[in-house]
This record gives sequence, C-alpha cells and structure tokens, in this order.
Amino acid sequence: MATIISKRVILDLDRCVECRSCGAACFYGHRRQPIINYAEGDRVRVPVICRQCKSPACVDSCPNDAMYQNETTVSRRSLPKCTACGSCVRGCPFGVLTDEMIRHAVPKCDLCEERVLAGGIPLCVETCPSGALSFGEVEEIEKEGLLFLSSRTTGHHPLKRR
Amino acid sequence: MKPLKNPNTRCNFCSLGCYVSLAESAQEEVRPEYDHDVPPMRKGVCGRGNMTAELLRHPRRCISARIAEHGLIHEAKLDEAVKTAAGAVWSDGGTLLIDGNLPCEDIATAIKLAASSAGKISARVFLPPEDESALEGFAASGAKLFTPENLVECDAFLIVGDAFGTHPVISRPIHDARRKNPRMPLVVVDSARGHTSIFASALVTVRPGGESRVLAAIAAACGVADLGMLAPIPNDAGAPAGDVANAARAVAGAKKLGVILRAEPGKASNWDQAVFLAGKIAEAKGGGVALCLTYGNAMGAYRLAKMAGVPVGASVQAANTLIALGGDPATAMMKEEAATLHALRTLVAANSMPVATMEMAHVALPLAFNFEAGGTTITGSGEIVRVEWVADAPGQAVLPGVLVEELAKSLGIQGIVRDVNREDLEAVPSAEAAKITARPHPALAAAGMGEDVLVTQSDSVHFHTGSLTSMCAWPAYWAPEPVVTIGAKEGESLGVIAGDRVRIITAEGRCEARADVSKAQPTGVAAVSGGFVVSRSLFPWNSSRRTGPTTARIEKIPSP
Repeated sequence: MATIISKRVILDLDRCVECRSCGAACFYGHRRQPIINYAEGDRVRVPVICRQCKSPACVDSCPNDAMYQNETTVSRRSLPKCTACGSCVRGCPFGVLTDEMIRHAVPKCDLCEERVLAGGIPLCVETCPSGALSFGEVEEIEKEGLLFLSSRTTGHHPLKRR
Repeated sequence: MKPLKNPNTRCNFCSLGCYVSLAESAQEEVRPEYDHDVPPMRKGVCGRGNMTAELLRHPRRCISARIAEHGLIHEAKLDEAVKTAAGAVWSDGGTLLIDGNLPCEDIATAIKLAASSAGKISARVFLPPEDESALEGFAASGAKLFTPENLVECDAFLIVGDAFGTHPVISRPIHDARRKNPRMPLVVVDSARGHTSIFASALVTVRPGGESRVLAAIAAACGVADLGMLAPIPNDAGAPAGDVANAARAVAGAKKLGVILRAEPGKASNWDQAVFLAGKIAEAKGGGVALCLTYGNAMGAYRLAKMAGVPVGASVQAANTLIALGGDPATAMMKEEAATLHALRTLVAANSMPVATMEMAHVALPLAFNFEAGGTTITGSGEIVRVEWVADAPGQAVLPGVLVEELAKSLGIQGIVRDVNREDLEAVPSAEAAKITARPHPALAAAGMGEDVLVTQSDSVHFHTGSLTSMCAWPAYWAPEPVVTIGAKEGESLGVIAGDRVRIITAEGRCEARADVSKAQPTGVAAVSGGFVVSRSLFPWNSSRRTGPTTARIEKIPSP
C-alpha cells in the first residue's frame, strides 16, 4: 500500500520577504523549469504553492486525464497526455497554474514527492531564508480551518482559506 | 565530470556567508542541499545562493588560457600565458588590480607579490564603492559587529536601506526576535519602498540622499554627542518630522539595538557618514551592527588592504600593463577609467567566466571559483569563515593565489606562497572619525518639472554589475532586464501600467526597462534595479566613485 503524504506547504505571510528563493530552489531542483507561480499585486509578490487539494479542481476539470492524483495524494500533470487546453488553469481556484506554464512542457508542483517519501521536505521549504514556508500536517491545518491569518492577509486573499 | 569532493561550504556571493551544501543529481547537475545541523538561524539560501551551484559546471566556464597576438587569438598553455603576462610587467611595470571578492589567501598573496616586486608592480584592491564607503564609516564609528545570533537577542531594530530585499537571509533572526515579542520596534529608514518597509513598525521614508539627516536626528535623541558637522538639521530631516520623531522615540527606548545596514549605490552619496551615525546609535543603545555588503569578502579585502597600506579602488592611470585578478573591471570600474582599459599596452585578465574584461584581454587566464579553491573570507558580521573546497577546477583553471605564485616565479621573485596571516584578518582597522564629521550633510536630491529622482533598488539576484549573474539560468528567467518602480500618480500621468516598457533618460545616458507601478512608492521617486550595466550607466557615479541618486525623465514606449 502506498504511503499517503499527509503534510502540505504552508506560507506565513508575516515572514515572507518576497525574495523568490523558493522559486529558485524549485527551478534548480526540477531540471531548471519554473514551476512556482507568484501572486503579484501592489506591494504583494508571494508564492502560490500547490495545496495538493483533497479533491483537486484541476484534475476534475481536465478533459484528457492529463491531470491526475496519484496514490500518495499528490496531483501531477502528465505531459504526454496534456493538450494545453488550459482547463486546469481555469479550474484551479488558487492561481497555482498559469497559461504560460501550461503552454510549455512544465510539470506542476509535485510536492517534491521523492524527497518527502525519503523523509525529506520540499526544496522550497528547505531554502526559504526567512522561515516563511513550513511543511505541516494537513489535519492540523484543517483543525485551524485557516492558513496563517496575518496582518498582511486581506479579506479575499486566496491564501486565507484552504 | 569529477564528483564533488566535499559538499559542505559557505556561499560567498554576499557578505552573509550562509551555509550551503551542494548535491549532484543523476544528470550531473549541481544544486544546493540543506544541512540540518547548521544553526537554526542560518538555514536556507536565497536565489543567489541557489545560483552558485550552477556556476560550478557552467557550460561557458573559462577553462584554458588565451593570448591575443597581432590581432589573432589563440589558446595557449597556462605557463606560456603567465610568462607573456610576466614579460609585459617586467618591461613596462604594471598595476595588479585584485578583486575584493577573492578569498583572503589570494588577496594577501597578490599584495605580497606587489610588495616584493621592487616597484615593478603596484597593487590595488577593488571593492564596490558602496562597500568601501560603508566599511570606512563603520571603521570610524568603532561600533561592535553583530552576528545573526546576536540579533535575536535585541529588543529593537533599526534597518537602513532594503536589507530584506537584497539579503533575505538576514530577515530570519529579525522575524524570530519579533515572533517572541510582536510589539518589538522595527524602524526602517529608506528612500524607496522595498521589501523591508512592509514589516516596519515605524517607517521613515526619506527624500533620496537624506539617510544621514534622519540618522543624525535619531542619534541626537539617543544622546550621541560630538557629531561635528553631522549634527541634526532643524526642520529639515529629509523626512516627515512626525515619522522621524516616532522612529527616534522607538530607537531611544531600546536596551539592545540591532542595526542592519544595506548601502545602495544610488540612494545616498555619503554612506560613510550614514554608517558612522548608525554605528554611533548602536553603540549608544548597547547594540551592534550587521553590514549587508555587496561583496562576500568585502570586509576581508578591506582589512587586508588597510593592514598593507594598499589603496582601495580601481585606477589604471599611468599604467601600461594591468593585471585584473578576478572581477570584471570593464563593467565595474567607473566609465572613464574603464575607457582607459583600451589604451593599455597589455591587459591581463583572470576570471572564471567570459566576462567583458576577459573578452578584451590580451592575455586571458582561467580562474577557479572560490569553492574550487577553498579559502578564508570575513562576513559582514566580522566572522572569519572557511569557504570549503567543493570540487576541482575544470581544465587549466587555477586558484588566483597559485596564478600569483606562478607569476612571481616567472618574474624571479622568491618566497611567494598562497597564505594569509591570521593576525591580519583579526586586526580591526580604524578610521578617523573627524574626517567623516568634518563634512556637512549633502544636499537632498531634487527633480525638475516632469522629472523623477532616480535611485537604485537591488534585489537578491543581481547585485553588482550583473556580468556574472546574467549568465545564469534563474536570473535570466526571473530578471532578464531592469525594472523601474514608479508611484501611482506618475503612472497615471504617464499612462503607464505595470508591465509596460519605458525609457529612462538621465544626463548620463538612457536605457529601457519594464515598469512597475506601486501606490507605496514615494511620489517623485523612481527606483531602478541596480545590478545591470545599463542601469548603472544612468548614474553619475558611473564616472566617479561618489555614489548617490540622480534625476531622470521617464517615457512610455508605445507597444508595437
């Protein structure tokens, strides 16, 4: 029986200095492919890292079964099956996937599955110099109901709710 | 490919000296790994730290020596190229320009060679002007240096410049300290709204160049006397009086103050004075200073140069031959001085990558990177650390110190061995405070109608000239061109929205950039990315070593 990964990446907005180090670590750790997307706005440029939803909208919206959830609960993108139709981009409510990413043969965040199954933590969390990213149990996050609510979180910010 | 020798080392691409381990993938790509035994304060590396691994096996590495003769370039054996360089120095005399980012062993060996050459070679150590100025001011202040561990024990912070933007790792101890006490004051003094200002409990937005005025007001509130000409200027601190008073109150109430300084070349023309004042404030409040410098070994290079009486700064005046040991003088030197490179009879360049100086050199020598050499550096917190030997250098590339040894042998100079005295590294240089306090605060930058005051705003990837970082994949993807941030009002009047292309025009030159429009950016101030040759060429300090802002006109480039 496959191991279920029960931890997720959590962003603490009170610590994120918007340095994009997570993006650099992910880029160099995934054969130089830009996988992490950033929410950009006035004075905001925070990473939007895949939440690996329980019932992922990106998987549900894919007409070609290119997006799939594997036995460890990680959502992945199969590049050979993908026709770059963009349904997953429209389906994801959090802005994790972008049209640019889908047009190119870039895989989506895989939660650094191999590292995690080997007892490690994802590269973005490892590298985060300000300590804004952490790797925690999904049950703990669910119990709280919300991700870290911070002085920088606005009412409709997608990072507010899981 | 040879496997890595020892994966654990220190990043040497800024003055924080972060721990980094390098790992090799099945595709023989090298990337950072993370050692869980390092102190919790020192975990993680920034985007620039992630990039160091790419340089190790970069496809454009310089791996063989090259000589240009009669207009033709040919590859040569290393000893042949060194003999050619030595011949030029022997007949004409020359200047040895030592890059301040080399390990201390290499800098000390090169200085030793110049001292033993009976006047044939004059040595100079190159440091970015903002680092040199900050170190001079710090030496005059006599303040203590603080490590990240010391910072966690502070009960208030004063940050000058956008330290979190350029040196994100320094944010961790401050966040940790503030997590313990959320009401802890964090005073930020900056002329552009950077990433640090987001976290400020008291933000002082100074008019560009006004940093020393605000710091003088805070120093006076902390009871610092004998400021000479640097005494606070009544009714004109270069920032709203209420903000300055709030900041002064917050700092004056501290028992142990942590001061973090990031000197940006385009923000103030007097970083020596600003750092001196900040050091005095730290001293008065029982605290210390952490310097966020551009060069990883700026502190070590400064100490060694001062101990040996070697001038700091680039100059090739009256030289027939220049040996550029590391660095890229063609882009880092001031405009007029860089132009004199073309007039040299012989230009010898040694570097690991094909930077502009290597391309124009008569003799080009391949160098090993710091982590292919191993050596000692001094961080901006004054810690003497080892950059470990991670991998062997490829091809003919050698350590800078070994190159100097070979040059000495060719010149018939005995006893030059790659080494450094521990006492020289530990000796803290002092500077005369009276020299710094004898100058008044500089005038504040003002812009005419239709103009903005232009400052630089570096990020954590492109710091200096960008000649090295622009060859790496991540910065090329993330920051391929300069970005200029303007205020919302300017954006409206120019019809510019974020993402538009604009032209920046100053008295010194012009360049194109991508626009970013922010409500938070102070009105009348535009901030351009500093780590590009094209954006540096907009500023007058590209011609003299005096840093500072300038005025610029910004035009929208119509989309095709």
